[in-house]
Amino acid sequence: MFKKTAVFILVLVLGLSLLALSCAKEAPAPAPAPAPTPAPTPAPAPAPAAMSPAEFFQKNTVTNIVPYSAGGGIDYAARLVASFWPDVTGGNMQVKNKEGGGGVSGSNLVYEAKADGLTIGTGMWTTLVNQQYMGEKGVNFDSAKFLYIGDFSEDPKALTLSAKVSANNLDEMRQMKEVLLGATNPRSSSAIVAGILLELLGLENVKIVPGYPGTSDIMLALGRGEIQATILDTVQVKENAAKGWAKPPVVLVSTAKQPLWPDSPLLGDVVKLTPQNQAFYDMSLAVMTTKTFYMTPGVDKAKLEYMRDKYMEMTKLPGFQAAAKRAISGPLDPRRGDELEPKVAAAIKVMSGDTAQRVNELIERRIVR
Amino acid sequence: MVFDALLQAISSFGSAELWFFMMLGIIVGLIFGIIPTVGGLLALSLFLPFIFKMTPMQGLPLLMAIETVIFTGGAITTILVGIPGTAPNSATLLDGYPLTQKGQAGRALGAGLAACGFGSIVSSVLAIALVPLVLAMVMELRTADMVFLVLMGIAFLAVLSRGSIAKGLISGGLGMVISLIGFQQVTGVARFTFDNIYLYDGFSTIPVVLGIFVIPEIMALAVKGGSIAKAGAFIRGMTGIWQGALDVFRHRRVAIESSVIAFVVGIIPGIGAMVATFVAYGRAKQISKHPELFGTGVIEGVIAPECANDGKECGALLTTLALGIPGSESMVLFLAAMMLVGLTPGPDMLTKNLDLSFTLLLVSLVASVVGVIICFSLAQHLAKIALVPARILTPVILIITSVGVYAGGEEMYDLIAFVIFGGLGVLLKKFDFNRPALVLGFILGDLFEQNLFLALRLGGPFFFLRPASLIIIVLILLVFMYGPSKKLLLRGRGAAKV
Repeated sequence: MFKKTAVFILVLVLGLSLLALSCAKEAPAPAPAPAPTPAPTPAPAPAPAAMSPAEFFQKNTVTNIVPYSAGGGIDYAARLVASFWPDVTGGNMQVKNKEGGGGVSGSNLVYEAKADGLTIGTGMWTTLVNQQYMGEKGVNFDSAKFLYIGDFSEDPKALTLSAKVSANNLDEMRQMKEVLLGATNPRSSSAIVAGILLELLGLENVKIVPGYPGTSDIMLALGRGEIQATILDTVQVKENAAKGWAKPPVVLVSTAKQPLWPDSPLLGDVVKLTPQNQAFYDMSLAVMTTKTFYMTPGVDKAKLEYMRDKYMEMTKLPGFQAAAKRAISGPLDPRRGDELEPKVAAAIKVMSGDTAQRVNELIERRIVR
Repeated sequence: MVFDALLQAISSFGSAELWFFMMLGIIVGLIFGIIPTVGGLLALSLFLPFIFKMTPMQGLPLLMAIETVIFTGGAITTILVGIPGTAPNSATLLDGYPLTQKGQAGRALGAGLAACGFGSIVSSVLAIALVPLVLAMVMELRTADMVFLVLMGIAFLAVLSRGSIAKGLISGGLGMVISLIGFQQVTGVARFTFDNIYLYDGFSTIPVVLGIFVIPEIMALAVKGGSIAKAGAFIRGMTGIWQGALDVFRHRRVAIESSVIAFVVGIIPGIGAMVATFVAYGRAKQISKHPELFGTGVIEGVIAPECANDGKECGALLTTLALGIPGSESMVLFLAAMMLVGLTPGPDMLTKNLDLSFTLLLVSLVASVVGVIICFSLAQHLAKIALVPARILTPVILIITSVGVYAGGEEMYDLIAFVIFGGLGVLLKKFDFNRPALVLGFILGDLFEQNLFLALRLGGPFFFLRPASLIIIVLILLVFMYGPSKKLLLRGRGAAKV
């Protein structure tokens, strides 16, 4: 009798625990959809109408969702902002890591959160656009509808060679018998830029090897000489060059000279632009590393402007700049969200035609089988 | 230069500031380790924001101490209650908990805690001695070698099998199949995800491991009634704490081999903590005089994984410091902490900043020893949990474990996975299939496929024709041949006597 009772109690407790925990979940599980869902309608502010954004953010804690696991560059940026948020607003910000689906889960969560201004996300606007238009599974957001607070540390991509190869520039790279270029997955930013660059530069001897779990694995493979090339940020190239793993970039995917690599040619210098390849060129420029902060669509405009103002104020604090410098070798270069919006719109314009599909085909053609 | 750096590192222990932050880390690490399922990642990520305002000699010893002693605390819960305190403590569950059930909680605790300290000491000494070689070793490895290193871990599936080898291999194979669910990095194809974004990354380790191990044990305890240990046997058993500690030295071959295996696994990025503990367990079983008793409560089954748990930390730290490549999941956070305090990992950490690197290695050693001493003093009191009646303990354990599973990613599907794998664990236990083999297959399956695909693309079908790969292949063959050749040898000796 006791045994049956015990088992019954066990099952009951388990069921109640599951029920209690399921009621605690705030956002619904995202339903997979090939097209972005419409933005949620703005929710009324929970506080009396008289409360200003300053008062609102002083009294309520903001949740900053990072769509990746703790410890990476994006997580660092989120924690940086969270630690200085009280200094400029008097309120609190907490960081929550919500990894999954290559960052899609966390971004979905921000998109579908209540539009009261208390949920923001940290990521890269370029990744949001790529995930949406390159066919990443499970995307429920529309990157055009996010409200961008600001970003900093925009870092362009660079094609770089392993220190173990003899080639030092593009011409010498073309003479190599075979060049293996490492990437994570076929839809990653490194694969996108690689596919485009190889096409624009006519590097027929270069093949893409996807499958590395992360950028640090790619960098290790570069250092070992297992792969001969890869696509990295200019800051990552500098770190790897310091370790003796990488050479200066053979080409920079940028329209402006980079202070870290003043002697490396820009993509526009080595490619003859035509109407046929202009879209690819524009798309490659749109894929860069940046630390972007964004909000749920539909948030009250006054709150958004307040957030943007406070973000810019924060980036001017000496403590913030010193802490940011520890992780970012290049210039901080913070931008307000309204400066960012035209860039996002331009990138979406490029991606929303058939360019994304054509880039997918380029990548597939270059993958080592 | 190495000797000077070592002396400087030792002298830094004269600083009260270092001791303060290290002790703080020890206490936090033990608490987080003892609370089931919480683990090192959560502890480190909670303290990461505070590192912003700290100097390197404050923040890094704090985090290093947390990371080192978390497994020591985890061993206590694993042995006494049958819930892995952290995922890598799962291997200790196999013999630690049965020892508690047999009334030998004290001996198991003593052995587990002493093994933690032993593993840490061996690993720290190896790390300090091999600093010049580690960098070269890691840089010489290739993806091809990784394929066979992982395969060597898979070879231990057969060793882990108790009774029917076929059942062990079936369990391991099932684990590998489950590991293939999710987004395949090489081809970009989502397998068996049913368009569910949770399955995109595959099942998380925590719900799988806890479901497979914890739910069957809780149900068995609930059905059996009483308490984990009988009162009389328990009181007698607790006097064995020091006997357990001495067991580590009696079984020093197991302790040393486990620590060395774990150190090597720790150095190699991408293999993972759980591989170290299960491979060490498998090796201990291989060299034991009574391998058939493993899983029923043998002391080597506690010593091996606990030596490995602490043994891998210094190896992982060295790779993280020297290469900036995290040697484990927790080291990803440690890397972030290094950035926060203004340090750049890389060759400088083994040259200009060698003294700081040695300081961190010594912090790991000292923290482990101090943590063990604290746990020894508390063991008698903590162990009384084994006398709590099942009708009170089982729902509490179930709730704590469920909350721990959910807290990891705040994902409802983790709880569902926990229940599903719990059901699978119950079936596996009922029909005597090997659960550790399933877990090992789950951990290694995806890793093996990833590395194999990469190796084939990088080197073609003959990618294994490398000296390092061929040596590892020979070691794998030795793993398979060890058991049968030992039996042949014993039979031959028996025949000779007759």
